Order: sequence, then structure tokens, then C-alpha cells
Amino acid sequence: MKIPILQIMLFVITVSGIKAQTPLLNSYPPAAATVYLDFDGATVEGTLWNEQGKIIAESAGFSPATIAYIHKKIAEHFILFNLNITTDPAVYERAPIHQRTRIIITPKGSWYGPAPGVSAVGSFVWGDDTPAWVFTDHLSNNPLFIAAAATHQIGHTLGLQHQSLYDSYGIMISELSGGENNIFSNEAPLMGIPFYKTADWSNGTSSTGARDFQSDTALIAGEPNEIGYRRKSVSSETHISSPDAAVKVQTQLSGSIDLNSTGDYNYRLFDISGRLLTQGNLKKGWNQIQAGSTANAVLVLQWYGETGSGSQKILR
Amino acid sequence: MNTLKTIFCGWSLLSVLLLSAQEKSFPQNIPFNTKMEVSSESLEKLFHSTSVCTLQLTPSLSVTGTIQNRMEKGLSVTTLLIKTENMQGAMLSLSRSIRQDGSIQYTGHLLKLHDAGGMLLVVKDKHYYFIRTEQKFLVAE
Repeated sequence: MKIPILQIMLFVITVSGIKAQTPLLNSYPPAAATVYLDFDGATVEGTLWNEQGKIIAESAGFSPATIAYIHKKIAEHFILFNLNITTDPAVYERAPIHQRTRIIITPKGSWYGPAPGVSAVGSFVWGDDTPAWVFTDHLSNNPLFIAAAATHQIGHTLGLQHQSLYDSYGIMISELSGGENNIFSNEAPLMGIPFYKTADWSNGTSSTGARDFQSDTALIAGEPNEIGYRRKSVSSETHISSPDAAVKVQTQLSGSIDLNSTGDYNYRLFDISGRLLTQGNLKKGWNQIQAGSTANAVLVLQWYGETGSGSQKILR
Repeated sequence: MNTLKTIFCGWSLLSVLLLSAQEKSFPQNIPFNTKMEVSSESLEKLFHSTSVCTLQLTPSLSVTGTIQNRMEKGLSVTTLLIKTENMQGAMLSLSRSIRQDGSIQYTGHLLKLHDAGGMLLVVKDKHYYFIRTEQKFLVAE
């Protein structure tokens, strides 16, 4: 008689332990705008997804370490923005209703069909808590793929369309660009196929037309999301060298910028409207990047790597 | 061979004309073929319906359906999910939000998952329009 009770107690402890083990992570707590990564399973009704009735989504079933890894990888893509990526449902509930979205990360999406995920474009600002979905069975349960797919779906909820590939006549070759245009780099657009190369936000032609240029970062930060960028150190001087800066910046009049880096980092350079000007890798020591002579008077430099990340505004 | 050429040329010309005839929605920059103005009074009326409701989009096009779900998010957002009867069961989802400045804003869409098309409610200069567009611009994988 004692054994079954013990077994029941152990079962209860184990089940409640799984819930408690979901790490409560926040990438940028000061931000009101919030993306909630829901690994715990969910019951969804009353949304556009509910054509066939209530949807009961299983929990992702990942270990805390895997959840933390996926959260970190997703958060890295939003490091520039005034946006909190959280795994804490309470943070999501407190977020402004017109500046939040929930990404349900769950094994199966049989109610929808064979896809790695789906979302309603622009739903971040709808205010009705329409969730987006990532189906992990279609991503081989690979944490890196899941992070890329989740970031892609977050991009859709923030109003982004796919980055597409067109030929010189404007005929669409592929709705999802895999970075084929950039044969000299190993990068792909996050809003294209972000799985097999280093993926990042990009400026490119969107799926709405060959003449439609989509700057992912400008759209994320701007209207109607009104997320904006994180505020970091600002200097009105040409030389910027805050003592803790991993990358020191020296602007040049010719349109190039000299950077003194303490380590190996990836960098991205934006104009003040959030348009991506250039991106690449910084090596330890001096690096020179071209900002272009037509760039705005205010630029934002973002860098990130294994040893940390940061961003700075540069006044030219 | 000449017939094939004629067909190909005709098809190409038609494609070019169709593409150039497409407009872009505001503010989402989504291409659309048709836009239908709908008054905020008509939208508001739906939120006071109890079960069966009708939304007149044009003199010849109306959406009739049954309210399947009504959700309230605090005091500021009400969402209706309406299953249409005359649009092949497409779902009309409408949200009514009271913004911080006290103004009322409606958002919504009419679609059936995996169909080729769908409609999105957009607002410009305080006028509401349903635009008809490809579903891939509204629901994306």
C-alpha cells in the first residue's frame, strides 16, 4: 500500500518539477514590448487558427538547458531592439496588449499541416493575443533550427514578409531566399531560409514584389510596432571610447569607419532609420568598414560574439 | 508554333497588366486587387450582435455568419470570431481596441486557412477598408 502512494507522490513531484524547471528568462527586462516563448504547451481558442475548434498544444518537452539555449539564440537576433524575449508567462501578461506576441513551441502542428511554423503577419500589434507557432517535429527537434524558425515567425508577427529571390526580369525564382545573391558570404536572410547558413536580418526584395525593398530592422523598430532601439552610450565626439567598450570606434570623413576591437565579433551597421547598411566580421585589432557616403549623420553600430555584445551610436 | 507564340504573348501581356493593376495596401504595403470601404458603425454593430450577424461590404457583397467566440481582454480589447455561412466557412476575426487616447480601433481579417486568398481590414485616414489579397501575405510559414 505504501508503494503506490510513494509512486504517486514521485509522479506528482516529477510533473510539477517539469513545470518548475522551465527557466524564466528575459533578454531585456526594461523593454515593455514582449515576445513570449511558450514551451509549456497551451490551449488555444477563439483565434483565426481555430477553424476546427480548440487546439491543445503539447509542451515542447525540452530540458531547461535546451530552452535556455534556444532563448539565447533567439535573443541574439533582437539584441538591437527595445524588445524583451521572455519565457515567463507573467511578464507576457504584464506587457502592453498591443505590443506583445506569444510563440507556441510545440512538437506537432497536424491541425495546420506540414510546416515548421506559421503566424499571422503583423499580429504583434493586434491586441487579441493571436499566437504564432513553431512545430518542432518538422525541425528535427534541432535547437538551432527551432531558434531560427522561431525568430522567423517572430519576424512575421512584427509585420515582415519573406525575403525573396527574383531574376533580372522581376520574376520570382524563390519565395524564400537562401542568401544565393551573396555568393561571397555564408549568410542567409532570417526571413528567407535561415537554417543552413548564418542567418541575419537583411535588406532585400520581399515576397510582395520584385520592386519592394524590405529593410527588416527598420520595419521591426518602426511603425506600427513602435519598438525602437535599445539606448546605449551616445557620444557627440568623433572618437568614442567608453572604458568598457569591446569595440572602439573612430569615424572617418571619407565614409569609412575604423574600429578597434578587443576580440572577434560580428557587426552590423544601421542608419538612424534602422536600415541595415553593412554587416560582417570584426577581427581583434583594427578594422575598417565602409558606411557609404550617403549614410545618415547618425549611425548605429551593433556587435556581438562569444565574449559579449554591445552597440553604439556614432555621430558623423 | 505560331498559335503557341500567340498564346504565350497573350499570357505574358495579361500577367504584366494584372501585376501593374495591383495596388499596395496602406500601411502594410501588401498588394491587393480589391478594396471595399466599411463604416466603423457597421463594424461596431457586429460587437453588439448575439449570434447570427451580417456585414455589408458592398451593395452586392455581404458576409453572414455565426459568432463562435467572443473574448474580452481586460477592458480594452474585445475579439469576435465569426464563422461565415456564405464564404465557404471562412473565419472573420475582428478585434475592437480602446487605445490609450480613448480612440477605438478595429483590426480584422477574413480567411480560410490554406485558401489562396483572404481579406484584411486596414485603416487609412480614419476610414476602414477590407482589401482582398493573397493569403500568403496574411498568414506566413
